[in-house]
Amino acid sequence: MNKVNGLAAKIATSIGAVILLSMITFIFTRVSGDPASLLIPSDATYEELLEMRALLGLDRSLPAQFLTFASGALKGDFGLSLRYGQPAMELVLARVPATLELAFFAALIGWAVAVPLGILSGCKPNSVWDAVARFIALFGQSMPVYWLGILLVMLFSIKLRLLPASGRGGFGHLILPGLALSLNLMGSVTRVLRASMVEILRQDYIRAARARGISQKALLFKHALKNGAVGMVTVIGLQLGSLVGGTVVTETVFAWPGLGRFIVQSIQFRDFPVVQAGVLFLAVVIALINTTTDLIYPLLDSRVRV
Amino acid sequence: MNMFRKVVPLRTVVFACFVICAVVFGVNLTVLAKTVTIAQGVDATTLDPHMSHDTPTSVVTGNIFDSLLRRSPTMELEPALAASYRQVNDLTWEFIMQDEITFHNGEIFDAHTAKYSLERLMDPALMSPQASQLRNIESIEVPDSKTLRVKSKTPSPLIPIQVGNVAMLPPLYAEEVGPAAFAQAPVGTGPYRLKEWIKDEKIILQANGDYYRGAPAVQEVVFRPIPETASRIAELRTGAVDLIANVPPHQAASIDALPDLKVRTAPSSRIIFIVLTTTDGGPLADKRVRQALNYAVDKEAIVRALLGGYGYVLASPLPNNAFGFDPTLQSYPYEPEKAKQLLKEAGFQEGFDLIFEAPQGRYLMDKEVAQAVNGYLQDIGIKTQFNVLEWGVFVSKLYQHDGAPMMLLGLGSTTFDADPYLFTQLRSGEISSYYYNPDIDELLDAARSEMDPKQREALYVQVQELAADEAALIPLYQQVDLFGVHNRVIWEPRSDEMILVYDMDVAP
Repeated sequence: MNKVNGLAAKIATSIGAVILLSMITFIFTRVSGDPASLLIPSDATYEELLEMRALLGLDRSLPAQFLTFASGALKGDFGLSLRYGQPAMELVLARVPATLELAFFAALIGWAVAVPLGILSGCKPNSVWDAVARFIALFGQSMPVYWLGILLVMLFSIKLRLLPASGRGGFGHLILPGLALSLNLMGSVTRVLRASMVEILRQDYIRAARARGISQKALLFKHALKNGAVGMVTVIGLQLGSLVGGTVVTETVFAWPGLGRFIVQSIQFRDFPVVQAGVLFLAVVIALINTTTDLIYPLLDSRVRV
Repeated sequence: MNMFRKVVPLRTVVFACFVICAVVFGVNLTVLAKTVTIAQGVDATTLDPHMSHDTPTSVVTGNIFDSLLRRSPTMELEPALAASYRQVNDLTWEFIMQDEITFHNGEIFDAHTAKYSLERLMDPALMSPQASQLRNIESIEVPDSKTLRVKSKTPSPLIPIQVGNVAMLPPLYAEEVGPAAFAQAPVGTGPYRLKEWIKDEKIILQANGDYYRGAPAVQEVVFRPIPETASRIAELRTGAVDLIANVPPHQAASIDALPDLKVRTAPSSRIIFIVLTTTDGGPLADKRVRQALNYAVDKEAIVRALLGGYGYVLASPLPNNAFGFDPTLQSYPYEPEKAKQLLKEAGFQEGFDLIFEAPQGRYLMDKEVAQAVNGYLQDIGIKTQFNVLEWGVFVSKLYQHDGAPMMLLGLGSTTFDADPYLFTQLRSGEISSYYYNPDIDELLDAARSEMDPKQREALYVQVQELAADEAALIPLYQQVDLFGVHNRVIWEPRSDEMILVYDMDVAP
């Protein structure tokens, strides 16, 4: 019973956060800049500006506009994009596969390197592996994606002519943006994993287990890693959210037709319906990831209850 | 630690797979048919030419659609779908349609089609951002299927430009599918038809073999949006892209230095200037202060240092390729001492406080140019509060007459006529005009309905002379458009920013 309540509370909090966020987005997009001014030509008259505002429904009061938005959103109708004249959510969803493709590929590379490296360096502090891990952690977290992306393009596309410099297409197009995007994640996962391994291996129960003559392999996989996984799941959950929503720079540098770049362009154009649909979509995705992360904890650590 | 030894070969295999896949999928395939790939900063927002409000969109639709008249490479107005046009009386213009032109879907083009297209654009329900260019049209008649008669509300020499510029759409198809579907699957009469559009990724156009001026030389055109300048240039260098738009001046030399690439330029129709609010009193209401500001700014140095010399210093808010441009007018020279003298005469020897605002990321080097201007103002003792605003905020303030006393602004027009420049900036009551001078108002109104080109030109010359003497604003410079082009592409850039692939060829 208690478990169900806890879960319900978590979900309710997530829904509340999503609603609050969509309200904040609604207000913030409207207080700065007027889409009608961006749509009319420079030789338009003031009357034409007012006409355009009326046609876009911007002459009504903010609460009235919000009601229209909210009642439409509940029915899944986010209105037409001011820039494209197409349904806003459709435009957003059309960009999701590209972003997911990039995010998951980057996550894959990131974890494939970071997980073994983090464990290894955590088990053997001050070894060569540890030095490598610390270098990657520092490099990954301090290197701006923008700069790294351009360096990768200069090397692999212009000098070596191995990989395409930008755009989406075959698998080849995925490698450079995936690599650029994965580095930051690689850095933070390595660091967190290393820290938690060092921490765990110092614990009494590990020393006790070691004293009982349990093999290094069993010690690591049966005892240490399972406990280290809690911290890792947190990082992975956070990282997934930021990967889906925060690929703007990578998508821009590599002309990747994804969601982040699309939402930023829509903000610049004050394309309210698209910004609202996009932010709401991301909010729901991140809320889902966070809730899932919360649900995974108790499976890994029986002390944690939902 | 043997478990890690197992992992290593696996990682090697994965890496090898990556490399093999990269070689197989990533390397650009050389295409046998004549194909050109063009990179712009952003994707088209629509392929309905009546709904376009930005250059990258118009560049794409310009290859799919035709209009009644077109611009020659030197920007002369010439017949296109209309074989000829003439003025019947002060208010009436007649366009005679070409014979035997069909749309991509087989629909016949005639005067009825032309009437439909004009009325579609004017229909408030369409919400076309271009509707205002036809606001002077009273009625459209089709006496016979070859003849289109357009009546204007007031006499206007700009009617042929405004009507001649409208893209022609097939009525049956456009009405059948509606505007939303038309924007995704456009049908025109132009040299290219849409083959595929993957949003934010690429637009592929295919040659229309039945084009009325003859089949195009280039069979396939790919438009790719690449927002980041460095990435656009990288793609040009790898050879994946043949032509890129919006090359920043400071990158021009590095492109020219490469053996396969060249920078090509065309004088743009875009001018950059500084709006001075003269209608709210304060120091800027004094002509001597405005003249002082004009003397204070070294426009030559700005063009040289910030635009790499790619720009023309202006004496009036009008580009040199617009009708009515006065080539004899001299820009205020850079004389800071004279500027200080004028300020003293006006009673501002101690300087004064002034808010100066500029947009960022809207025009080439906009923020940098504004910063330079700001520095020159401080040199003559004006205490400026300098704000850089995002374009959406800036333009909203501008149009609501909430702009700062001093604003950096740009203006471009594909009409190549003085009217849209001088009228919008100097005619009182216009949406982006912060100036009032009854003499200039009168001259501009007269020029707007003057049918004799000589007379009209004389009126605009008078406006420019008056505006220069009054220092109505600070004209800075006219931009030059820079394109990066692969040597295999035979093409000359145009002043209207269009990239007409029909006029292009590709060396084998």
